[in-house]
Amino acid sequence: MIVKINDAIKRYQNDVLALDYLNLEIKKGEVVGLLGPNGAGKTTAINAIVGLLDLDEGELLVFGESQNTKNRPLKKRLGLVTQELTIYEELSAYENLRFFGSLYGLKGEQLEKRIIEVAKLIGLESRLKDVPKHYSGGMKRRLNIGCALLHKPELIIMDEPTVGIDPQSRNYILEFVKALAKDTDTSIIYTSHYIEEVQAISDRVYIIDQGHIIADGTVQSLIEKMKGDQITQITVKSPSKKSVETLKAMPDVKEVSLVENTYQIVLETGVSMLDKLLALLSSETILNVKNDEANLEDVFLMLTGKTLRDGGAHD
Amino acid sequence: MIRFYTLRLLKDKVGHLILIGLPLVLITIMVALNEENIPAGEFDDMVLYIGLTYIVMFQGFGAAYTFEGLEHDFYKPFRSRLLVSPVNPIKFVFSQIGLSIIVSFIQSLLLVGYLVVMYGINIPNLAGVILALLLGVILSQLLASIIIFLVKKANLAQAIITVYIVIAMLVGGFFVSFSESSLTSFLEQFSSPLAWTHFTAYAFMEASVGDIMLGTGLLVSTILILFALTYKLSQRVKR
Repeated sequence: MIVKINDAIKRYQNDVLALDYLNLEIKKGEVVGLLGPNGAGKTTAINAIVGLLDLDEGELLVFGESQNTKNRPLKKRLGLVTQELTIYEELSAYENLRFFGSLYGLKGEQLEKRIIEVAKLIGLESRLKDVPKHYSGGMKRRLNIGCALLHKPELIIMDEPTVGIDPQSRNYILEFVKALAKDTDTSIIYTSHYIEEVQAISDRVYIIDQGHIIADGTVQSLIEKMKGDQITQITVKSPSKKSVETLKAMPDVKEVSLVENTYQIVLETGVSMLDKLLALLSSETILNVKNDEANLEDVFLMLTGKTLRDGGAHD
Repeated sequence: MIRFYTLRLLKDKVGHLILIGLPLVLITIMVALNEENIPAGEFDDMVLYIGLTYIVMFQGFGAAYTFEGLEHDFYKPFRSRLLVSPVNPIKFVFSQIGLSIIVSFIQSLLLVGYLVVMYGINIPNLAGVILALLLGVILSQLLASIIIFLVKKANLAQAIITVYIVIAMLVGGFFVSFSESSLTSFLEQFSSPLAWTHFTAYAFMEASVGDIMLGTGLLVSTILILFALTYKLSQRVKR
């Protein structure tokens, strides 16, 4: 087992419970998606795994060793791709890679060789001498990833590595991540606000909310849980919590959540009751009605009651 | 690591331009303005006084190297990247401070060189003066690190150090001469670490052993205290 977290608890100074009996496991060579709304505890979990913070309670084993802020040797085996760009834009890509390689003890020929290898991997070999401030957003993101790969980490944590880039660069990065896991047997923890990214690359997904895991499994198994369920989305002008409660009380309604001004209603298999739903909401101004089969986004929505892109701040 | 920090500091062209170019221009203007009013034979003294005043003042402003470097590394997202590496974070802190000291000291030397080459003045006991300037640089950069560790924002730290420098220079009578008294003399020599550096440089030039001991003693003991404080505060970056 590469990562094993048992009943992790982490409280912040303002008494906010960031991790609340979190349990999680990651195996060798697995790409694991970590999904959660803002403030769910994803970043806290990641920071604990990479040794940036200590847990208050519980057990965190990385490569079988107890992980904490003082376990420096363990850090050599980890790579972190940060959500924000953490490259030095005034210095060339070469100097950035060289710096991060040197932090992990690489030097001389070994370092030079590795810089070339990584530059090829991230598709920047012809732009190594350029300074990143002249790069496109996608190229900067690739360099940001490259800086975490020089020392060949066995576990890479990618915290929203595709934020703010064009679809082409996003596809490049997704293909790259898949190939990296497959070719090198590296374990990868991947978080994103783009659920389709997680769906595309993850072997397994953990859904985290309010500091603990509320669902896990392969993407397919999670969708299977809702397979056949009918999702009806009714967008109204002025939604009310009272209507949510009334909808929930209806027979054959499995779950109701309110996302912005849309009621998300999960119905039992094969049930058709659109007319009843609309009648119930007749006092409200209905703007749109949509019927769909469940996908991972719906699973997430139903479990957390929120979309991944809710709110502005990240947890 | 040293290579990276050196390259990063060298890239700060605007910083160098301000910290070398501006005092150079100010020294030149102030010397030109005062040239006419100075009795014959006192020209060198005037150039030295003006030159040292601006060198010491801009050593204080050189604190910006430490502010900006430490802010970038520990109060911005770069922090996570550095802290997940197996390197002790204290090494990053002291690499930054060490290289800031070197760069700021080189700037002081260039300005001293300008005084010698441009005005042809002879600086007595030059090695001692340079030692005093080095101690001044070290003190300024350590003070800068303490301020940034406390306030965590480079622009706020810059505002604090600017107020400190302006007050120190005014109280020390470096910009506006006060009428001579024991109080103004004391303020000129001891009112701030900038005044201590100025005082110590003069002590070396005048070969006044007592004053050299007093000046260097003040600077060195303050450096030791600031170093201990910097070390203690730098532990916070790990959290």
